[in-house]
Amino acid sequence: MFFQLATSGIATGCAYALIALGFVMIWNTASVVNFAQGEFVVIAMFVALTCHVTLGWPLWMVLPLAVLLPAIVGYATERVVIRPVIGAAEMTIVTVTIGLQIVLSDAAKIIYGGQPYSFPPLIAGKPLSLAGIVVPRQSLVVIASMIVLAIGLHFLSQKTSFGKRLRAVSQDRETAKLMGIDVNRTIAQGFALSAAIAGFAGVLLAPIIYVSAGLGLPLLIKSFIAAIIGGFGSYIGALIGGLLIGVLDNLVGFYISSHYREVFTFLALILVLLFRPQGLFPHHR
Amino acid sequence: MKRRNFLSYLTAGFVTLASLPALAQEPVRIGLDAVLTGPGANNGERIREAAQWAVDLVNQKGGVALPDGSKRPLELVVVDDQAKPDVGLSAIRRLVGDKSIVAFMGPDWSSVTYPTLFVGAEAGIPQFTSSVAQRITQEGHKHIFRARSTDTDWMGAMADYLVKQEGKKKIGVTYANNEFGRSGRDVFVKILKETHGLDPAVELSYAVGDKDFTSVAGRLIQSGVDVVVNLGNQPEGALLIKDLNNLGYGGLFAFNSADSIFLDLAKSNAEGVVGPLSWVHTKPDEKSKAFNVEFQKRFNRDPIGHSVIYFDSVNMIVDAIGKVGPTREAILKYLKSVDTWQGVQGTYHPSAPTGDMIHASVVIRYNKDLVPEVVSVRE
Repeated sequence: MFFQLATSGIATGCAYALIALGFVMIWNTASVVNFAQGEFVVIAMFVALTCHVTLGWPLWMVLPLAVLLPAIVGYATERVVIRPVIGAAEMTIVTVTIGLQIVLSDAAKIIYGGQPYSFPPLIAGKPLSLAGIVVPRQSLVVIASMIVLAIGLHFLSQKTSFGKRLRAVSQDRETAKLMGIDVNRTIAQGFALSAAIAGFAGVLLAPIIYVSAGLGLPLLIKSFIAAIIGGFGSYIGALIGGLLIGVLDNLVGFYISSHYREVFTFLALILVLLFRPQGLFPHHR
Repeated sequence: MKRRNFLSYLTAGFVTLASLPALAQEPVRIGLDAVLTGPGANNGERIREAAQWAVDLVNQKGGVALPDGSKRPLELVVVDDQAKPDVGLSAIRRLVGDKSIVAFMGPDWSSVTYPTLFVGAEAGIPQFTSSVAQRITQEGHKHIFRARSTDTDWMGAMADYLVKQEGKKKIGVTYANNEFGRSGRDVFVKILKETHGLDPAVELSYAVGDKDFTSVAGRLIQSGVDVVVNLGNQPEGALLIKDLNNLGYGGLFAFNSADSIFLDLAKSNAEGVVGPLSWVHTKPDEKSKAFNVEFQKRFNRDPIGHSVIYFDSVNMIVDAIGKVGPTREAILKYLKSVDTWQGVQGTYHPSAPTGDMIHASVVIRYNKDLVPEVVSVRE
């Protein structure tokens, strides 16, 4: 049962990890903690739901759209909401992103109501049994997607001009500007990319946890904790932090009680902040 | 002088004659408070359409009959409580403040009904609700009529079915850690103990909003239960049965919210799921069948339990008006003297001291086509 729980936790943790990854990307490029990150997940979910379930469009057409639309919203968010307050007090920026979270969440509730909607699995079929561990196909899709995405992001970061610009901006904005990098544009593109990653997580999660307007905040909290535990600003830390939270959730739920899931998650956060405030993997930026 | 008097009388006569048709056509108004925006709006819209349909049917027959044999149009005045107590309070005050409204229906949500009960009580207006919280009818209000069976009825029916019909003895109980889940758990466990002498083999709770139920499903399977009774809301119930099925659970899954919302979420995982409901469109009695046929003709889909509750409530009010006329006091007094009233849902007892008019419930089981087959009926 231990491995069963761990496997299931890894699948859920992958989703937290992806959202945390987006968090970290925005933090690194713009020094902004974006509390609306969870809402990009919800936007992707509702785009997928509307296009696939309501309009009947095929998945191959819907999935890119569901990732693209949050990316556009992310880009617009930086241009319209964040850029005017860049340089303002930290509390101002935090308040703006919290306000954005509330606006996006309430807009989703007004349009779609508060009820959950089911979304069909991306790959249909009965769960697979691997070495005695039951793994739903959808969980395999999530785990495989996260691995592919992590490799892709590493490649993007290390080998492409865009990745190098992102890294340059995150390391030293002034120097990057002196080197001819359009910092504002790079930050906006970073926002778009992080929203696209969140959208990707939304598409993966939709068949597992149902689509609902109120999902953004709980996902945000778990992912935020994952990012802190991993080491805020660390990409590897965000990924591993997400996986740890997912697995911890399941193990506590089974061996102790479901009631104590949140307690142990926050306990882990407090312990990390007390004894290793820089997080578990602070140097992997 | 005589000529002037004659003209005055003539004018007065014309005015009276001119106003007579208007007076005759003055509608009898009944109110409806439902959730028409925000979460729960789907259900609220189904409530509104059923009540309006019942009103339309009355008007198609010439209107609501009065004790003197005359008829007047029936009008439904609808307000929206948005499932919020503060909004509900002002919405109900609007209904009650309109003296032409002789009775009203709603709210549906207990969290809105309970804190607003005093408004209807102070006004002495008959109020029909579909809220299930026990305390709504336990505080001595004389104006409240509950047109839906409650937790106690449902849990009794479900426990009977599981133990007597299915022969299950090793029962696991899971419940959501909210008012709905906890009260459901308390009622079910009490009935299981007192009526069948059984204790749950395992009891597990979970938080509303949990998304991964592998740990709960794992513990249930490890405990070897042959039936899981889940008490809570539809999203968590649908996720739990999915994870149970994923882990190869072969026992029965009973759920107190196994309605159409659950079915929409659980899809094929709902096959074999058992649940108690106040009414279901597949209920095999003649009245239900006839209602279902007419509803299908009108709306081109199946009715839900709330459709029947509000359809019946309108008709009960109309019957009362026919007996004693369209005043709040007379309708309230009359209903409190009626022992039985036959509706689509079953036999109502308007004179019940608490206001709990009906205890009818059914236990359904989703077949392989995901149709809710009635496996037990309790009147």
